[in-house]
Amino acid sequence: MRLLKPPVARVVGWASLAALVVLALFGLWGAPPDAVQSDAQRLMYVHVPAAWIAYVAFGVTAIGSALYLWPRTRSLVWDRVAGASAELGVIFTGLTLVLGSLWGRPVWGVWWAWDARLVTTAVLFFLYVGYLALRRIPAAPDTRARRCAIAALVAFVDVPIVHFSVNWWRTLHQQATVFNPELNAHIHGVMAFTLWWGVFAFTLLYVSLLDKRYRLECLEEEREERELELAIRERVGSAGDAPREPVGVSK
Amino acid sequence: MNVFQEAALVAGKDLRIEARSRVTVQQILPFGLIVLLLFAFALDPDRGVLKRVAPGLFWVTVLLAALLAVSRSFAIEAEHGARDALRLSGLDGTSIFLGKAGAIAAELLALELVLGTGVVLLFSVHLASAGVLVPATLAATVGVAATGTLYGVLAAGIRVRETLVPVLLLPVVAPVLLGATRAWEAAIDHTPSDAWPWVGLLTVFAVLYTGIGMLAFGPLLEDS
Amino acid sequence: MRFAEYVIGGWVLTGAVLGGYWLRLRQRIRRAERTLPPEA
Repeated sequence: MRLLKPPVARVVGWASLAALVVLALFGLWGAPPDAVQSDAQRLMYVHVPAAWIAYVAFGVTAIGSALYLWPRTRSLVWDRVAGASAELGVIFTGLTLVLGSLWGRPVWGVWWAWDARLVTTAVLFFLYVGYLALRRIPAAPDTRARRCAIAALVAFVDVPIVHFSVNWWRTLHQQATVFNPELNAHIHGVMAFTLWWGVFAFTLLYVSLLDKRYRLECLEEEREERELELAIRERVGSAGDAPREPVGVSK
Repeated sequence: MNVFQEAALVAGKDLRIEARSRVTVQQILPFGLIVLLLFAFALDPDRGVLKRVAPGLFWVTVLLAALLAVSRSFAIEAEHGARDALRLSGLDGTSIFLGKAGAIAAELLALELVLGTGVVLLFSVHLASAGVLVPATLAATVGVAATGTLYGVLAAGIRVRETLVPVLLLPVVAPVLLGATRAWEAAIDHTPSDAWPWVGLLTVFAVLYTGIGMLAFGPLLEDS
Repeated sequence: MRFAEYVIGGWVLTGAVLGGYWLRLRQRIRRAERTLPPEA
């Protein structure tokens, strides 16, 4: 019913909260403004970690899907992990896009740019959204699991192709020079620390949320099973004495 | 019967149904042509805008038509227990996949021929460098047909499949749109050497998704 | 702070989205636990 043992989950939960508070302190106050981007740099301390988690979550969904499909490791646990991670992924991806946009406006002067990273992230967002739509379709647990697992892997395989092709497209047209990578290669000191701390804090948060979402998934599956049990019992009961043999066997 | 003979059987069935019902010719093709027309309404036909963006418009139209073609391909299996018959037929999932994808590809190629002519006539485009245009178009079409068939069977038993398949399929085939458009642009600009890398990408995509489809179609058909 | 609206806006949004999601999860978990039908 849970990915982490309750005491561990509690610790991770509180640790992630503490880490996020520390991140805010450093990100909004402790770290100096950037020489080029000024205070807009501070958005990087949430944008980059969010992007990191967006891709990690997607990876987890892919791994969970693969493990489900592999006969030796087939278990609905992996399916639930995949589904839970996808929901987190769509949230972090959406956040990445919005934060990137908020950063881009003051620094680039535009809300959006057609560079490889942004476009790939946008496609990733839609791949997630499609997966979640598929997941909502009611079906028997293993049917749904298999169908979603295949869809997740099909999408996962596509991401590097999208990234590669968009990157190629945009560098060929030499727009890339204007929109240089938002991270200076020479980021160092407090700024580098804050960025890495952000990645760390968001990772803790992701683990904590994944555990919770997994738990919710288990509870809802359990509820459906029990409701089905109850419905069957009622049906069987209303036909007279509840037979101990399977329904349909004539006496 | 080997895989290819079985696939030919399935493709033949689908194409024969098309020959009798003429849905592709009488409905999907006009849809494609209307979309091309609408682009002219939406954009400026007099300033060379259409001519410049013609490859992109062409391929977007092809993708939209492909959505319909995929939908149709699985709609014919939805009636009269045809899907059950397919499952019980003893045909290998791989063969059925290749057959259905092949039929969709054939239909798309026919559509592309007419829509391509439309683009040449309506948008004053001069197609050139057939040596690179043809491989690019073939690879792109196979990629779209394979991926479409994969998602088509995935959603086959789902009631909301009409609205679900587009949202699943289009993001995945975005690289195909990208590559095919760039290849056509290079061909039209008489710089075919620029197009070959994109042909490479399109081919990789086509091979990859045909492979995935061959593996996944059978299990997905069982579940649908 | 320069570009304060963007920076503060972005951080507040982040906090609101993640905090809101966390709270919503907690709410949904509690409701699920509460309304779980009895074991067969």
